[in-house]
Amino acid sequence: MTTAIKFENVSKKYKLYSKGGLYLRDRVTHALGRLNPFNHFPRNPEKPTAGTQEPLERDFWALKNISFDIKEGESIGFIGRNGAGKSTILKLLAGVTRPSSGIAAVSGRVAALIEVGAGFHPELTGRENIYLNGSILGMKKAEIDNCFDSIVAFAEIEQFMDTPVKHYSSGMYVRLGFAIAAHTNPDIYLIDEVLAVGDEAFQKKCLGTLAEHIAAGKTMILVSHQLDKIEEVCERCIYLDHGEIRYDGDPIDAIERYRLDVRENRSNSPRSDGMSGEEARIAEVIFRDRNGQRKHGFETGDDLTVEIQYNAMRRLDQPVFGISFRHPSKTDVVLASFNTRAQATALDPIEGKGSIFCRISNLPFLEGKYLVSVVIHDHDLTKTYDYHYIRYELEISGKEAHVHGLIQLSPDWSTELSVGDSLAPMHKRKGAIG
Amino acid sequence: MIGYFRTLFSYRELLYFLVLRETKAKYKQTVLGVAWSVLQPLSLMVVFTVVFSLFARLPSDGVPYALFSYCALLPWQFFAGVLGRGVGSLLSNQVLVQKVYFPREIILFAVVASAVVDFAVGASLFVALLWFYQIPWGWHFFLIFPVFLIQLFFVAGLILILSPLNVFYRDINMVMPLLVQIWMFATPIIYPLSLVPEALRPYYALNPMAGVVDAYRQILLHDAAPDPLTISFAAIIATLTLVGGLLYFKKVEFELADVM
Repeated sequence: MTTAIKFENVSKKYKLYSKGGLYLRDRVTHALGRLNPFNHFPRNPEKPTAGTQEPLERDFWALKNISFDIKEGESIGFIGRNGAGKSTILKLLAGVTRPSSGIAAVSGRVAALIEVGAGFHPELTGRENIYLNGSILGMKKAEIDNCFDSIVAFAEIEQFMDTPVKHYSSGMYVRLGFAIAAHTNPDIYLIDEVLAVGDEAFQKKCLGTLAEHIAAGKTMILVSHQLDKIEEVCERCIYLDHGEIRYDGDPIDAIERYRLDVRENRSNSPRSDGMSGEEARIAEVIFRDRNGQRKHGFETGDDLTVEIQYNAMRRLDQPVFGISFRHPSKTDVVLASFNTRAQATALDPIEGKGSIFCRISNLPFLEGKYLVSVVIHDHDLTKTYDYHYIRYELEISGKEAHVHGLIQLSPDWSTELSVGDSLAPMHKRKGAIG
Repeated sequence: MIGYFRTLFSYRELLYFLVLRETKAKYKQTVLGVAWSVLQPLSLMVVFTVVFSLFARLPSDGVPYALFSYCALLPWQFFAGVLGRGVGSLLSNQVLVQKVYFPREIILFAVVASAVVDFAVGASLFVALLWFYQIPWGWHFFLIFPVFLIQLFFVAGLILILSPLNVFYRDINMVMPLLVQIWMFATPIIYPLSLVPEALRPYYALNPMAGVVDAYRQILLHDAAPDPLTISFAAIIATLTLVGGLLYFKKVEFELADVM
C-alpha cells in the first residue's frame, strides 16, 4: 500500500496576541511604549515595574515535531483535548496552512467535511447550494450534475430543492452538507466533528457511508470528541496532547490512555485556579465493605463505606465533605451528589491528618464502572480546599441478570392501581388520620 | 507564472458559483432586485444634479449635468462597491478560508466579477441616457474597454492588498468608508477636471481613478481620446498595484488561516 499522508518532524507555531493585538492602536501604543526610556530599565529585573509591557505576541507551538505516516485506505482517528493540535493537523492536511518546520506531504485529492453548511448561503436554494458547496469542495459542474440526484436522495430533501436553505431545519442542513461531501469522491476524507449532529438514524447512515468508503479504499481522517465513534470507525488512533503524539496505535488503547489522562489532569487542574490545596488536602480515598475491608469491586445492594483521609494544614472550623458519582460515558451528568452540609452533619473542627467515613447502605448502582469525586469545602461552600474530580473508580458487578440501566429501583407490578404510601399498611394509616 | 494562471483557470467553475452566490444573494428578498444596481447611481445622479448643478451651478464641460455626473458615478460606484465588499470578504468567508483550500484570491475575484455585473446593468441606463440626450457616438467608444481594464486592475490590486491586511489589522475595515468618501471628493466626479487649479493638476494624475473618470467622460461625452499622459500614468499605477497585490497576496495567503 502506498503512503497517502506523510508528516515528518512537523512543527507549527502560532503567534498569540495578548488582548486585542489585532488592532493597529495596540501596535502603535506598544511601539510608543518601547520608546519610553523608563521602560528599558526596570529597577528590579525580577519584578517588572508597572510601566513595563508584556510582549504583544508570544509564540505558541501547536505541534511539536510530529511524525506519522498514513497509508492509503487507512481510517485513522485523532483524539485529544481542545488545543492538543487536532485542528492544526486538519488544517495542514486540508492545505490551508503550512508547517513552521518539517514536511507535511499529502498525495491525492482531499475533501474536508466542513462544519454543517459552512459553504452554504442561507438565501440560496438547496439546488444552488449543492452546486456552490460542491464546487467549493473541488467538484466540477459536470460531476455535480452526475451525482445530483443521488445527493438529493441521500439528504432526503427532494421536495425542498428549490427552497432557500434558511428555511431548512438543522437536520436538513446537516443531511445536505454530509450528502454533498460524501459524493465529492476524494482520495482522502477529513471529517471534523460533523458526526456530532443529526439524529441517530442519520448518524447511522453516515457511518454506514463512511464504512463503504473505507471499504472502497479511501483514506479517512476523523477528528472527534465522540470516542465511541472513533472506536467504531477507525482502525488506528493517534492521541495528541499539547502538540505531541502520546499514543499511536490501536483505538481502544489510545482512548483508554486518553480517558485516564483526562481524569488525572482534570483533578489536578482545578487546583491551579483557586484551589491552592494549601489549607487542606484529600490524602486518600478508600472504599470499604460492611466489614471494613478495603475493596474495589462491589455488588448492587452492598453497603459501601467511603473513607476520606485528609490532611488539614491549619485548623478548619466546620469543614464540608462531599462525594459525587458519575458515569464514565457522560461525566457532565451527576448521578448522585451529597455533602455533610446538605445532610446537616456539622463536623468538628479538623486539623492535621484524619479520616472521615461515609456509609452508603444498599448501593443502588447496577453493573458497571462509576467515577467518584471527593471534595472538601469550607463551611458555606464559598471556598474549595481540595477537589478530586472523577479520580476514583468504583466497580459494581450485578447480581440480577435481567435488570438494565444504572440504578436499581424496587418496582411493584400489579393489575390494580395502588395509591398512597405502599409501605404503610392501610389500617395503620387510617388510624393515624383518625 | 503560466502555472499559476493555469491553476487559477481550473477554478473557474468555483469562481462562477461564487459570483452567482454574490449576485443572487445580494438581491434575494429585495422587491426591486437587480434594478438596485441602476437605482443607486441614478438616485445619486438626481441628487447631485439638483444640488450641484441647479443650486451650486457647477460647470459640466458643456454636457447636461445629469449625464456628466452619471458618467462618473457609474465607474465610481463600481470602484467603491468593490472596495466596500472586497476588503471584508476574506473575513466574512472565514470558515471556508480555514477549512478548505482553493486559491483565496478567487473570493476577491468573485466580488469584482459580481460588481462587473452591476456595472453592466447600470451601463444600460447610461446608454439610454446617451440616446435621450442625443450624444453622438464615434470610434472613440471602443477606448472604454482598455479604460475599464485599468479600473479593473486597479481595484483588484487594491483589495488583494487590503483584504489580507484587514485580516491582520481589523482597523482597515473601519477606515474604509471614510477613505472612500474622501477619495470621491479627490476624484472629479461632482466637478469637471477643468475646475481644478492648474497647480494641483499633476497631483490628480497620481490618482488613477481621476484619470479613469476623466477618460470615460472624454470618450463617451465628447467622442475624444483621453489625455494620453494621464491615462498611461493611471495604467502604469493600476498594473503595478495589481502585480504588487498578487505578489503580496500569494506571500501571505497561508498566514490567513492562522490569524483568523
